[in-house]
Amino acid sequence: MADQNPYLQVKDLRVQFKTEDGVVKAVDGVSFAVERGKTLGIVGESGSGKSVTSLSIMGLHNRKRAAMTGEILVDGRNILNLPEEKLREVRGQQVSMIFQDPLSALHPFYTIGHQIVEAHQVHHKVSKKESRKRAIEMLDRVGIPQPAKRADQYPHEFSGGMRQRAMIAMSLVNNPNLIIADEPTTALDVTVQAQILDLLLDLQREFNSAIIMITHDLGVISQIADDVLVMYGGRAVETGTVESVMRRPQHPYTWGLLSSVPSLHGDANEDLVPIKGNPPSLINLPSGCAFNPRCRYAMLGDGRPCDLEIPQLLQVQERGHSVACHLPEQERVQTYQQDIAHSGVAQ
Amino acid sequence: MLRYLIKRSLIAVITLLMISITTFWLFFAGSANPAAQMCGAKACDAAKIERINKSLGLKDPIHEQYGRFMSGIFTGREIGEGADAIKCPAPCLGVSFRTSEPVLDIIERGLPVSASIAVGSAVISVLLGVSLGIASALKRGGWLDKFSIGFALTGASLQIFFLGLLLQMVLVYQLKIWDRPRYVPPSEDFLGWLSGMSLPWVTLGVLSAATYARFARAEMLEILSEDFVRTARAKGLTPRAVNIKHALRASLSSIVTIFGLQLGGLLGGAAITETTFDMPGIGKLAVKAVGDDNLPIVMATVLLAAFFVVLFNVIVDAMYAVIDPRVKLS
Repeated sequence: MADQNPYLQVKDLRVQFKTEDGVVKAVDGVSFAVERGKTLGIVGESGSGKSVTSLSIMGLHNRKRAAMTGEILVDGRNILNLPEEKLREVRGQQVSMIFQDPLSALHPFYTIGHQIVEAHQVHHKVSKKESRKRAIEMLDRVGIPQPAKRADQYPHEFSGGMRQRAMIAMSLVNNPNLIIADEPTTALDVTVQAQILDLLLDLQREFNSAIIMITHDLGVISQIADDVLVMYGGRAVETGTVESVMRRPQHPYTWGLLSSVPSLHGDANEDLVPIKGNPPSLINLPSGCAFNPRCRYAMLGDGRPCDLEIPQLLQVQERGHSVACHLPEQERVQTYQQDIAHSGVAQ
Repeated sequence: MLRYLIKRSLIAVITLLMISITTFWLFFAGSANPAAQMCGAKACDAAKIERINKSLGLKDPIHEQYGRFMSGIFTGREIGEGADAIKCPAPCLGVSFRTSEPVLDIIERGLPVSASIAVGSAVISVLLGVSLGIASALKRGGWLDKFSIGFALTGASLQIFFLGLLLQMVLVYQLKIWDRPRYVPPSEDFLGWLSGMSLPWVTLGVLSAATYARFARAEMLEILSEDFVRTARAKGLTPRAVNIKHALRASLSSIVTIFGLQLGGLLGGAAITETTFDMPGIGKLAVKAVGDDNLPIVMATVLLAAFFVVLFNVIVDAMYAVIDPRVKLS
């Protein structure tokens, strides 16, 4: 998925927080790239490091509390080295973010219009009137009826889906080149979810922006992403095109994720298979592969590697598909075909 | 809005009625003996006490006395009998058992004093406390934050009668660098009013600022972790805009709440502060009236204090609707 000039390039990103209980390794050596017009889906459970990664790209971590190393190149500039002032020019203009719960992410005391105008005015020296015109235009674009009237209403006067549309209008008001959507449909009804995803895709086509879609919902990924990055315990465990990762997954964790999703084509009586155990503590990760205590296929004992060595993310035979797993590729492919694939996978 | 105000006013009237009944009843349920207090230690015999009781109707059933008191508010009344009778025009809250002066006149004299103390110290405490609280929340863990926490703890532990007396003793009497606390009406001598009120203001203001600081800090810390503050930062706003326009604006309603309730409480008389600084306000009046079994003044000061508390509760509720668009008065 690496391209010659991807708009965003993250290289070996590490983010650590010092807490009283110890150092939290929230992100531990993650690399990926997204080019304009493409969508990267980042999947993982809570605590896998996906949201921390996205906040790093926005430069929203408190630099005193979060130790960040590696590189985050936005249009070639490493934002980890940018002073706060320069970073503010990137935020909201070149890179913008859509948050999970629009009710809590919008300020309850200001009208929708005011909040969009504010987002526009930070980056444009234009009159309030012009910004308001732009805000109404954006509200109209995201499908809010009577945008001029709705602009003067407060977030609590909007329905959940309309609020998320307004949030999207606010994020896109400056035509950002990269949009980070952090679980944008999780707080919404299923029917509204589909509308919001369609809207995002539409807008992406129109503005040719890059999208990072953070979610735990593989259905969302297969619907809108071009590439996928599966994260576990702060590391990338599998990455590749949606086609290859969803159809021919090679990491036992990805198998687990896929098996825990109901399938439209599968047998209705079939049970969903949850992944046993809990996500690991990021302060005290299991030794070796962080997934080994929950992995059915882990090779343990007698000097076998799963709890001894951290597996590297290595390219498999299929182009653009990498997996971090000690199991031999042949065995992974076979195991998936025999044990997992028949159980039906969300596509 | 109008319906809301009518409803709240009705509730306020009922509250005040209940308080007046309770106060009246409590006064007689205790060992109060106003007649003995009035007749003085010397030359007081049973006949004289009897005469006082009779002339003021103090031995009548409580509900009759209460009825007379209440009707006096609307129609005015004559207190005492024969040539000694005192005319007390409506709204009559009775006359002082001690000086026979209408209670309303006494209250009118005390109210500006209490109001001066209340407003001045409330302004100092809210400005000092809120800015300290916000600054320490923004620089969490820094020296200012540590100072602010220490200040809040000290302020909450110190009592006004201790700090007030100490400051008076040191600053006013020993070092002679501060004016003696006294009340002059601001209309007569504005500078004199300022200098005379300054010590009570500073003492009460700084002590209550501790409460604000603690409160504002906790509130700000909570709001700074809200999603909409993160959104504001994600828009690329300056830290100043994020902190003031987004975070402080959101914490305003709780700050206004304590401000309103504190001011309402103080307007009814800051009993300890006024006693400590010997200021002739409502609070000191109330303390003295209780010691003197001076029922009309006790009633008036209790009702006045209750009135301000009720009034400011309504004002605070109405302020919510102004501050927070989600709140609708109904």
